[in-house]
Amino acid sequence: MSELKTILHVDDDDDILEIARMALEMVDSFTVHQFNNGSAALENINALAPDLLLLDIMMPGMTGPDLWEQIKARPDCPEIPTIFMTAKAEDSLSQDLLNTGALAVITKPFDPMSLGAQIRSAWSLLEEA
Amino acid sequence: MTLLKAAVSYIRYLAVLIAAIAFGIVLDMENSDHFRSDQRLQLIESNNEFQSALERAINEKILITEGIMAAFASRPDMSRREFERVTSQLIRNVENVINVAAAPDLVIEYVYPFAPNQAALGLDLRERADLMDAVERSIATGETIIDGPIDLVQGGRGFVTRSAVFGYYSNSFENQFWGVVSLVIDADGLFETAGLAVENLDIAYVVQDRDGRILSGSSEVLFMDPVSTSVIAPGVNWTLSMVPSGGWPALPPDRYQIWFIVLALAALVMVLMRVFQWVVDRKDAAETQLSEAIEALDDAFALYDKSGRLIMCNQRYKALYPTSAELMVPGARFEDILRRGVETGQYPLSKGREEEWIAERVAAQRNPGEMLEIKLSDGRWLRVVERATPSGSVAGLRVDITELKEAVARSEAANAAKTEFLNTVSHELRTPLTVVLGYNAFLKKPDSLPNFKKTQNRLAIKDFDGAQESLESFKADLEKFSRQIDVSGRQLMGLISGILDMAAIDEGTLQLHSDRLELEPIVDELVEQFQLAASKKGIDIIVETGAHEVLADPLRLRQILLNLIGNAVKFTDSGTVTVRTGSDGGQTWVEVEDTGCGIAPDQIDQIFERFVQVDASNSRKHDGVGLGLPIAKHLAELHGGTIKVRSVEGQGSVFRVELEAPQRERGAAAR
Repeated sequence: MSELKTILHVDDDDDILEIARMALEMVDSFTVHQFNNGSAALENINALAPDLLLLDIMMPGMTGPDLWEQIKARPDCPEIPTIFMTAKAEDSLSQDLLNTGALAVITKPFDPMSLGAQIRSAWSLLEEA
Repeated sequence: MTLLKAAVSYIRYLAVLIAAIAFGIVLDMENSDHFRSDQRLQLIESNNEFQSALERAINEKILITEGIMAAFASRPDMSRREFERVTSQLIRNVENVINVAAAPDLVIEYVYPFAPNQAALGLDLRERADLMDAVERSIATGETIIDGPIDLVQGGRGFVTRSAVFGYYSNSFENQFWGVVSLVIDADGLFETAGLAVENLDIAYVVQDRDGRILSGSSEVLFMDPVSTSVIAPGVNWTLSMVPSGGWPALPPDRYQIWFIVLALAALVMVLMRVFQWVVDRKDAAETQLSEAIEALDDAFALYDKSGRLIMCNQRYKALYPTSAELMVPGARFEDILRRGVETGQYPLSKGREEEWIAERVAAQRNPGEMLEIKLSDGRWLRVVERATPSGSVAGLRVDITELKEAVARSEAANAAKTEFLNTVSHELRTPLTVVLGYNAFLKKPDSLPNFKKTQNRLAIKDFDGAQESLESFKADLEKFSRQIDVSGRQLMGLISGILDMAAIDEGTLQLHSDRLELEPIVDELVEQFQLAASKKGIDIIVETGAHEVLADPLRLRQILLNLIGNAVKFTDSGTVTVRTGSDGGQTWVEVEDTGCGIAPDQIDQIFERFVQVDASNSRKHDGVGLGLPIAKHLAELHGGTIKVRSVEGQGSVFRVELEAPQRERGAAAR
């Protein structure tokens, strides 16, 4: 498995995008591309060729799982490891996503100082597999 | 009904009794006729016997006469001694012959026995006119004439025979009259010899000659419907009439036995009828009790035989299936009733697979045991419980579980709503919390921020202008973090306050501190709070207020209006939001009208329900937990007012708060 460098992050909340960007770029030196809706992410994903998708589950219009399904369905798009973020309490959806191939589900609020470590930890599981 | 039944029962018994009496009468008459006929037949037989005996006794005497006649015919001049010898020979062993006389040329010359009768010798019969009549008739007819009875000189009564004797005498060829032979016969002895005129005779009789003269017996017999026969002998033509001694029996001796048997049979029939009626009554009572018990059930009941034909059902069963109820008569097939229900759309779950559904249901009915739940076209749900009886019949109960189903559905919906609410609350708490904690993490480590590092680096190279610039950027970062933390903190505060308000409303502990308030400044203040957000979305907020007052808690009134104006701005992407005030009667109202997305008609009733989100999906466009409107409505109601809404989906909504006006406002409105 290649090294984790580029992360595509989609969340409808601008503050959370800002906090995550600072956490991943400044603390962990990832290259982060961010969008506040799924449609924009879909338009740019091929050009950005991210190593990892970090998707918020609850977004207006297109949800994180919807976006993930559309990305997986695109023949021109390689399979990209995906981590979801959620502020909801329900376990069933998270479990469903993990069962269908999601790398991890990170629950909000997250600690910006350890967000990169959480992502690397999940990525390492992928390397072990 | 019971009286009528009892009356019918007694009429039946009476009919049996009348029939028995009629039968007894007919039988009695038949028996009496038969008895009388039998009595008569027996008497006829006795009568014939007496008649024969009498004829024999008479003929016996005639034979004696003819014997003597024959003797004189052959020997006309027979001596008296010879006469006595012949006569004694002839009457030997013959009873009731008192004497015998012979009168040649009608003058008595022979008598037997001689001694007691010798006085009659020489009697010329022609000189006795009373005797000549019979003599002349005998001469004229040539037959023996029996005369009498006459009272005898020696006592008693007697019959006298006169027989003219003819013969051929003195070599003459002419049959010449010789004389007369007479016998005197003991009349009473004659009848005794025939068995009549004896003591202890069990019959009463009368003997008459051809002229009706009574020769023996009682004339009363003639008035008692006697049995009669003719006694015929030479010179005799009598009638013998008889009745039983004491007359004909009026009643047959077994009459009472017959009546006893008939009445006993009638009694037996009535007892059997009573027993049969008792059995029928018991059966009817059992059926009535069963039927009443089944009707008393709260549930529908039906009993089908092992071939699937209806035996019985209650009214509730028919009421459940109105379109097939007319078929529910004893003997109707379960499948036919079911098919009618399917054809009339009674079972919505069968739609599109009617035959398959019928086959499955019939199979389930024939092999009962599993509990079924069936939905009816009127929306009701039935729980079908069917069990086989030992005889193979199928007893079935239909329990209306509609309320249970609805309760379960409501409970599931409530649980789902609560789950959704918790998810939404979780999302609405965690999202601002993420912002608070996220920015705060950088505030705790400001040296991790680029502008901080930049400032440090510029100071290190004594680039004070650059350091001042980066410090300003760092300060701006901190201000931005602080501001966003403040905004998110307020969001959290609002959410927590909403939850606490709802809890207080539920517990009834929310206190109002109402006061007379001017609406206009409050509306202006609240609108001002949303101007920035509205302008960002490109929408205008129009205020149309007047000098209206309201009696309300200022904090809660602001909370109500804040929610309504906030929602209007939140759900409107273009156009305007208009806030207007007014008074009407005893009420002051505030309307918030928007040109937003509006509310679908099927959702408009739900917007004031807590835990119910019009859009609680992961893709919902707007945040919030859905407590704002329910709280606003409760607050309005706590003020004695209300919130009304009208909306057109896609065009916008109007929320109108109506609250109590102070006294002066009412007066102004009235003027």
